[in-house]
Amino acid sequence: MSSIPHDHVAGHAHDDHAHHPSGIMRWITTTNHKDIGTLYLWFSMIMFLAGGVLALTIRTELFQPGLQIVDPEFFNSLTTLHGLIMIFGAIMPAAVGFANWQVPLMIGAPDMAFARMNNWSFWLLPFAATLLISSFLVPGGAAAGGWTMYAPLSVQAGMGMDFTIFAVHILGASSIMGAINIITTILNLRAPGMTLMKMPLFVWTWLITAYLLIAVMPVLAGAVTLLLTDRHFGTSFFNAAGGGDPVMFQHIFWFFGHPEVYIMILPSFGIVSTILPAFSRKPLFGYASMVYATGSIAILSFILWAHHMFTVGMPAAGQVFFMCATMLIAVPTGVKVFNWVATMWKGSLTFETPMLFAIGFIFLFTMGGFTGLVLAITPVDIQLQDTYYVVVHFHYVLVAGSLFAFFGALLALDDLLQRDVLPDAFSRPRRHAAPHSRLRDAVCRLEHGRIDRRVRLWALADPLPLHGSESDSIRAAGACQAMGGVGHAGVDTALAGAVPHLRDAARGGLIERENCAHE
Amino acid sequence: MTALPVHSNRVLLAKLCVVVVVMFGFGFAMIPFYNKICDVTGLRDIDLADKVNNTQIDTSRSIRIELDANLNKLPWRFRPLTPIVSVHPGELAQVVYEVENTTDRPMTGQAVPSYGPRRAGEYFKKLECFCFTKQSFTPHEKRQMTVVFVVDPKLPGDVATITLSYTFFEVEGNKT
Ligand code: HEM
Ligand SMILES: [Cu+2]
Repeated sequence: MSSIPHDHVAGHAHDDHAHHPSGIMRWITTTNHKDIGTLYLWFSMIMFLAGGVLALTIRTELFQPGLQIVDPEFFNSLTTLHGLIMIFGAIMPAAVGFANWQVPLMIGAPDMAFARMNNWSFWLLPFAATLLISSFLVPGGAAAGGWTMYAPLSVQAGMGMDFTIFAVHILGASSIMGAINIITTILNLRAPGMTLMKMPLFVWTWLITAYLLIAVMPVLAGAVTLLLTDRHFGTSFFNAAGGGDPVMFQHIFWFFGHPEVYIMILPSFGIVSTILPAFSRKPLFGYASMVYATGSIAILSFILWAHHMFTVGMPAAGQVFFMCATMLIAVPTGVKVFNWVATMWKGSLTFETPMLFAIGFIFLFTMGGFTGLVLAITPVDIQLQDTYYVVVHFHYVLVAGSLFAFFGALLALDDLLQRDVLPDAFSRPRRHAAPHSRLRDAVCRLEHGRIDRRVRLWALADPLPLHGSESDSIRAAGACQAMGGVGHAGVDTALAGAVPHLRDAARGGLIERENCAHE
Repeated sequence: MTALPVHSNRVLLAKLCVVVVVMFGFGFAMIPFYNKICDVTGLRDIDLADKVNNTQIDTSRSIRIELDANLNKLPWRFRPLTPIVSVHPGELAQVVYEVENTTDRPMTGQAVPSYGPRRAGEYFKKLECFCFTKQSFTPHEKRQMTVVFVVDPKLPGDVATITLSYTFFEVEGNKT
């Protein structure tokens, strides 16, 4: 279903709809943010499975000591490509998919600001992925020096490395375009009255993530370009023999790499901050502090890259600086964890699956943060660098962090997504869906046959451009309704209070209208 | 909002593209920046002669210096004339390495020193070394090259042996 934002464009949108291409062409030519969001999510799922197959092969090899099923060289390719595929193919596109779905809805925008560029930034991905995965087939096999592509190994490696470099270029271009689109949408297309500090937290986290992306993806592109010229055009940026310095690659890479880890986690922070209030039936605790914490995490993430390099032989002063800067970032992270717990405190919690993922996220992500703090201690890190401890740290934050949040989001938004993303085979059991329809009926009754899903989403995370008690009642109603929670006794009253404002908002062109006669 | 803000979208797009280009350039700018930092802090001054302040000879200690020579994928011959020497801290000493370009083409190489134990490096002061510059060889040229050094008397008492190890790398681009 296409999104029809404003009365005066509604007619056009309907005309377009009439001769939309169908079948596969619909997906190739689509400029609809929900379609593109769906494509991103499916792409991410496929990459997740591909990366998962590599991981399973790794674990099969490690089932017993000694060599079992793969060559050592191929094993190294497996870990390298597992990392690259999961980071650039699974986590990042999934986050962009959720942004495509939710950001325009949450801020009341008709679509993404650059709808055609949106299409393009998605369709670059399958090409990059094919390039990356097909590098297994070239002479010498896929890149095998780790996802970090450290020189000098990557300078000496075979052709698979060139494939990887080009794939990284394309993936980077896609991310940059996506980020520009998201920033422009958020800054220029908000509904009137939605000030920045009224935006749902998910929108905030994505705004900041997008800024991180345009700041550091070009740096990565630069780093791999330098690798490419070192490999093929006789330069010696990272080649000690020619006067270059391999350690410099690490500096450039981690200048990208550390902000990159926050690129992978911030959207998940936003998701968890959306799920928790809904299932706790309370507004998010400390909205403003959440925004500031996210901002300070982003800024700090630029000055602590060398905590990945404690063993390269840095002067003690450098080690102390990067150690302290790293520990500093635990403060805003701690603020967030505190706020999430405080959001649940004295709430009327229910434990549907998305909430389970969110609570699991809080506990396990915190463990990931603690292991990170341990690694931040320079003398300890010198023992732990390049051990499984680091692998454990980042799987806590990436799997139990980012991924849990994505699973939670997919389930929490099933009402929204079901029709467009999940085939019927995946639809939720009736029990789960029931409260939706009951509440939807209530709203329909009150709103003379009109319901708006965007209001539901806004309501969820606070930001309806209304004031005081009205916005509270909408929020209460929306929270219960949106997440299929069992309604409070007062929910109908709350809805009743909210309706005049819904109607005003709808007249003001704020609200996407959806006739619910057919439901 | 009455019209789609197409114009302001374009303006923002242009601004964000500038950020992208600047950051792409920043990646490259990190190289001179990094080299500058290394110069200023002296982090990478392996190719400069060390300054020796105190040449007081500490005859109460003898340090065993083991000399090691390696080639990184070069078909050359490279060896120290004497594999082991013994020096007192503070004493000026000289050792000789011999290098031969066994190929039929002129080649250029750069030797990179390293020390074992690593922390001994800062007490091993080289006044003259073939590793300070690139070394060019005509086909089949054989040459003897010296290292003049002083072991700083401040060398921690538990270090009795220092391994001085050189690795020759070919400087590519000078291949012709
Ligand atoms: C409290 C917050 C955090 C702290 C203090 C922290 C600290 C560190 C440190 C010191 C290392 C380097 C370990 C080493 O290589 O010896 C590291 C590695 C890593 N961290 Fe974190 N971290 C934090 C949060 C995160 C988050 C949120 C993510 C991603 C979502 C993340 C992802 C990674 C990854 C991927 C690596 C390993 C990279 C590699 O060497 O391949 N970290 N972390
Ligand atoms: Cu980091």
